[in-house]
Amino acid sequence: MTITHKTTARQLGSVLFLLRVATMTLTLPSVIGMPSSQGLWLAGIVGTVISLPLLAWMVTLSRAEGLDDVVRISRRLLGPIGGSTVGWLFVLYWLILAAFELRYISEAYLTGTMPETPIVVFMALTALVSAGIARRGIRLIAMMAELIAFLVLISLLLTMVLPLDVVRLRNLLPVFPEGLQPLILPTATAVPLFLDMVVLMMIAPSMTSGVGLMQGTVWSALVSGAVLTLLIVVVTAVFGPISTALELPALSLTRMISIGGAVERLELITVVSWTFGIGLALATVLWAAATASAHLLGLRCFEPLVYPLGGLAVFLGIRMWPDVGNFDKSTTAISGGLVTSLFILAVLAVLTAARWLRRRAGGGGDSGRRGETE
Amino acid sequence: MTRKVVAIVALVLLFSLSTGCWNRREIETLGFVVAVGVDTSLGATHWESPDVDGDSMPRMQCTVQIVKPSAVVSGERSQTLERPFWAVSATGRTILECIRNLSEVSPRILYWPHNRWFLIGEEYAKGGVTRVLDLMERDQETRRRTAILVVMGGRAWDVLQTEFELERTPSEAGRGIVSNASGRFSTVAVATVNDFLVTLASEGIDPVAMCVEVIPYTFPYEITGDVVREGVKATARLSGAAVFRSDKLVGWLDGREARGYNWVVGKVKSAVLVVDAPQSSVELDPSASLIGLEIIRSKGAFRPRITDDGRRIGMEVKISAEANIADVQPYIDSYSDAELWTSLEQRLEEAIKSEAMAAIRKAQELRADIFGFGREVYRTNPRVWKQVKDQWYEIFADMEPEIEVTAKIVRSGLKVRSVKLEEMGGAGEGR
Repeated sequence: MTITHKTTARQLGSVLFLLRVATMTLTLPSVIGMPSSQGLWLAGIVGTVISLPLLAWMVTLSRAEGLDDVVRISRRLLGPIGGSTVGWLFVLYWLILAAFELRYISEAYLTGTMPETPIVVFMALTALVSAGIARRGIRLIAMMAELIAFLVLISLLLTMVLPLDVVRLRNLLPVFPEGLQPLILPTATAVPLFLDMVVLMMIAPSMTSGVGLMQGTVWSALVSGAVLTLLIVVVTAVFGPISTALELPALSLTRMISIGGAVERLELITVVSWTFGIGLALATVLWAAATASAHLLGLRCFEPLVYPLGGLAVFLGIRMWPDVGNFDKSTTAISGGLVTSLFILAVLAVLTAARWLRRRAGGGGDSGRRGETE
Repeated sequence: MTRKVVAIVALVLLFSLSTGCWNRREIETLGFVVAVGVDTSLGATHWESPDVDGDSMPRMQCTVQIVKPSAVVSGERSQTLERPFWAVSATGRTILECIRNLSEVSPRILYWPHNRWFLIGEEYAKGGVTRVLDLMERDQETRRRTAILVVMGGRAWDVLQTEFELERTPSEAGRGIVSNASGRFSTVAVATVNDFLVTLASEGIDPVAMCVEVIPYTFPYEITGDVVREGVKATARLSGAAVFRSDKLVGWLDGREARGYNWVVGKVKSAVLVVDAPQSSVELDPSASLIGLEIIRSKGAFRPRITDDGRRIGMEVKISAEANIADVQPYIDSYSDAELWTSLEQRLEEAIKSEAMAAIRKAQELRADIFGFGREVYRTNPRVWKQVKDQWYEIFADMEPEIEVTAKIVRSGLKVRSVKLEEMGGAGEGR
């Protein structure tokens, strides 16, 4: 499995942006079900600020290990058994993330447009298309992401700008009627979604440079953080207290668009974001799961694993969440988000500690497969 | 070989699955709903089966107005005398049940994205409306920007039978009337389902809805002969506002009070206010002493004034307006009479203040904070709000708001001086 083309910082940034921002076009986990709506936009800012050093930690670890991928780094630092365990946990994590993305977009299609269609149809078709892209490797995904991230960004900006006539900024006041405590849950929910960018530790070997890895990561976090914050501001300004009760806030925003009383209900804008954004985010996750599995199984190529993993994601997507209520809760910090955060932070801590111990024992610092080139 | 087989299977699957969807709807199978109304039930309609489940739950009557595409086409075929819409009712315990009951009599599937009007009969509105609005938020076909109206002294069913001159479909006519009445006269309090629900969920504010009433046409004569005339028997008028406390209708604002409401919340786009002419201008004919001032721009805002101990809460309302001299009965000379402008501005300020105060007094009388004075206290002083929240309606009712109006007359139209009648009765300059 040889990667012959390198991924640029912009392409990496686009891939990570789509991973983070795609969910925003569906439900807003930092908003839905929260006790009050006014100060939630601050959760977007605080969540981004907290996530930035964590993402920088991932990048630093990758760079220190010669831009190797997280499975190889784990095996090198933790030994074959410990490293393989971490590797398989990552495969499971990406598989669950893929199942989550599939269920996410399918539920959105059902709730927003076609309620009578069996969910498996959407899930199977999306998995089929995304697996087809994933099978062609990270190069194609990165190039597509570079184009589609722009499209998704424009559609999100339109979603926020076009309903301007119904924006009431007073709905954002008072910011903290009950003190700072209501901010904890939405912030803690925003952070795990940024941590999904850990897939950068699989993309690292294909990067042109370590500097590019850092640039792409930081920019994607900043841009997606800004978009998240702005989206929460607009949703709260338009829907006030009922914004926390909306299943698909971005879709609801596009339903409020009225241009001159003639052009109305431009749900198409959101549906385009769903289809392209989630489709590519899913392809990225499937690619990461297949590549990591190939490493762990000692296979020369990952391609044969993509479709079976896609099928498994469909199965898990249907079986894991019995209803939308459970599914929505799984995105919050008190449920799936907490598990994600703990897993990723624990892996980062263990790998950093192992690296530190190895260096202290004289094992050398640059044990990576290749050194930094810049 | 395997890849080819996989590709062929994938293509076959894609083509077979992508040819249509489970939710496909052909246009000729759809009935386009343009308005819906909810009333208390007067009993099941004649095509409905009697209750078989013995349920004693109170029923509601839901009426939908569906466009007849064949009757609204343009060109020569538009000469048809066929009514361009069909209004049909069904009863049920929930609004969705009513709508689904309609499927037993409608040959077409009701299609909701074109619905612009949600009407509620007065009697039903008095009992609370949240129970029927949920569907408008929850369903993916309905619009949140649907206008919400309450029928003054009548039923939604009646309004949905009315017709309008100049427009074939009542939905389009209503749209034009709302646009005219709010944009040219500001005597309606425009509200959408989204506005209504956001207000209901907010602290310290009660919702308003538009007010509509049926106007019967009673011609004292009969038009006969070859001239084709459509039989418009009743039309509808939009003016004023329905005032809710929480989700229950508690009263009405008339057109002038509705404009007063719009002054306070800053929603007056344009209006005509008639004031008495200054004394110096009515020397010749005191009976023609009125001047119409056309508002061209306005702003309205308010903020609470709370004493340091938080016990006394007042409200400071600030309104500003710009107007043109638009319609003059007596003789005026705006070119040389410098006092005229100031004098008219004072009169306009008084007129605006009077309308705003009338709206506030009516809301206080109804004990419904439709302006959101309480919400403003909550926004600016959440701690004070927490203390006064439970007694807010009493505080609101006893409140003496300070209204400060700044009016500016900026233009006088295409002339600077009116026609001056000669004392001998001869005509002066032509108008």
